[in-house]
Amino acid sequence: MTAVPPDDLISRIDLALGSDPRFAGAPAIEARNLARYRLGLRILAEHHPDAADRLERLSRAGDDELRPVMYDPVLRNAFENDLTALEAGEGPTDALAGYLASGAADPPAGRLDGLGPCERLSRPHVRPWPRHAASWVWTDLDAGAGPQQALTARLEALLAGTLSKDGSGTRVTPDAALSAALGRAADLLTALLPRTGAGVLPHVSLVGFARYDNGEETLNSISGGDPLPSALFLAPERMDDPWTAAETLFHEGLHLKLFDVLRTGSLVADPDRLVPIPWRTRSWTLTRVLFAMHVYAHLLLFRAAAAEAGPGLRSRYGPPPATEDVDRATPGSEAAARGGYTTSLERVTYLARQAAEVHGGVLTAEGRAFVGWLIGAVTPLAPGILSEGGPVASPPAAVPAGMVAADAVAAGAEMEPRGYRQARPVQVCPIPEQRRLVAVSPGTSRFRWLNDHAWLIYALCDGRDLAALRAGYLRAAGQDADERLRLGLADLLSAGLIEPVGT
Amino acid sequence: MPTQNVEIPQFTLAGNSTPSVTTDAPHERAWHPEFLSPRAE
Repeated sequence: MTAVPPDDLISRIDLALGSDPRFAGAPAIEARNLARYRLGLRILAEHHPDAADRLERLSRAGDDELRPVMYDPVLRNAFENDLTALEAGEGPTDALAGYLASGAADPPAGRLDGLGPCERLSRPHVRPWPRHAASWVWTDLDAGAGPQQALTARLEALLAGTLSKDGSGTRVTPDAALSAALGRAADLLTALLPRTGAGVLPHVSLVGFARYDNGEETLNSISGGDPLPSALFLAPERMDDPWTAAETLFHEGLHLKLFDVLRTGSLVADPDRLVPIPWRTRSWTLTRVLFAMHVYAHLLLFRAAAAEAGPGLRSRYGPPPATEDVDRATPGSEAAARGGYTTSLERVTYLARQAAEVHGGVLTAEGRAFVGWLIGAVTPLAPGILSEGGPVASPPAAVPAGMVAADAVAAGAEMEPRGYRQARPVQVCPIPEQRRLVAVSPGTSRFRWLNDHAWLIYALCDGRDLAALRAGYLRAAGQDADERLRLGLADLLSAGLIEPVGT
Repeated sequence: MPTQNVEIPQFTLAGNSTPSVTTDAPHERAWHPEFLSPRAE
């Protein structure tokens, strides 16, 4: 057998981890998010007649107009809060409608400038890696006049809520050298890992700097979920060494990528499942386990690529890290007492086994696919990542993949002879290039993601009777699979997207 | 673009495909991962 050259192996893993349209490909993830925004803006328009024109217009806008607005941290947070309030029956709230109606998001003189509303207020305006993405640095914000003032205040408030639970975190205004260090970190990251490295940057809108020290722990970096979306903050000290800077940028960019993946599909079915972490004193939720596993799997690749870095990179950026360690175990933890769990390999192995072997039964079908994809991609760098013969855990055998117990009961029931029709109003956005359809269940703000097979069954539910539905399915699907039709109908019924004819 | 009609997709389904309807879960996104290290002694 011919040994695979290390750099070829790294390129292959870089490609495997950087191109999957479900979990990695930035353009595909963005296309799904934009479809979701377009649909969500329509839903909000129904609830806010005063701002309906603006919401509808933005929904119909091209990507170049929609993206800067909806990837703005303040407006993205407002959108998610409004949707969550509607879903919880607490709405409608009008945060996003308020910003749009006030003109806070409008470009100067109505001419598109490619900038997001908060970015437009940054002084000086710095885009640290313009060849790769439209990210911007939080230098200083012009307090603005008129409606823009609300954006500045809200961004400060979102950061305070994210950073300063005990008041000890502060934002740092970067000087030109610190901003330049960001560009250097991105240059190194993208040279080292052209697919995965460059692939995290489009998920970053805002880059800032911050310090946090509560006496026991210090902040290296932090990124935002919905409380401060599309934003990451770095401790200035992480910029001192280009390799550390590139790795930290990669780390947080990966978190932002996964948040964007999560906006279009849940990974964990049990939000309260806790997992003990040997190198920390507190357990993590299974969601956090997946986030950490995602990062450590990629850091394995980063460190392997760094070790193989050629003389050009070494002369430009200095020697790569000489240690495999990523950080220390927390004092008082099992690892602090007994040793171990300081490297990416040890940590990703532990987390992968927890996710795949111990808690796999409470992952969604997407979650199991995510874990399987990640493990499969990095196994050449971590051959013992799973226990001997350890499979990615499957749900209980009595329940087919992708179904919950209620669906299984429904699937066992008789199909309605009079057929099914789509529940009204129908609100959908097709993404044919990804063979997906996103729909909103009537009466809710809950998004549903249909694969091509479910999309077909949904489309056939146009009021025709069951015999005609079966015939149409057989003709279009090319398969005589009553059980799959029954499964699809059960899922669509459970989601509230269809209803039996005659009800 | 959003629409109020569900067109029949013009795809050939893979022989082993099954229908899938998933959703997102805001609770999975309502946090902010912190990368903290124990303070240097």
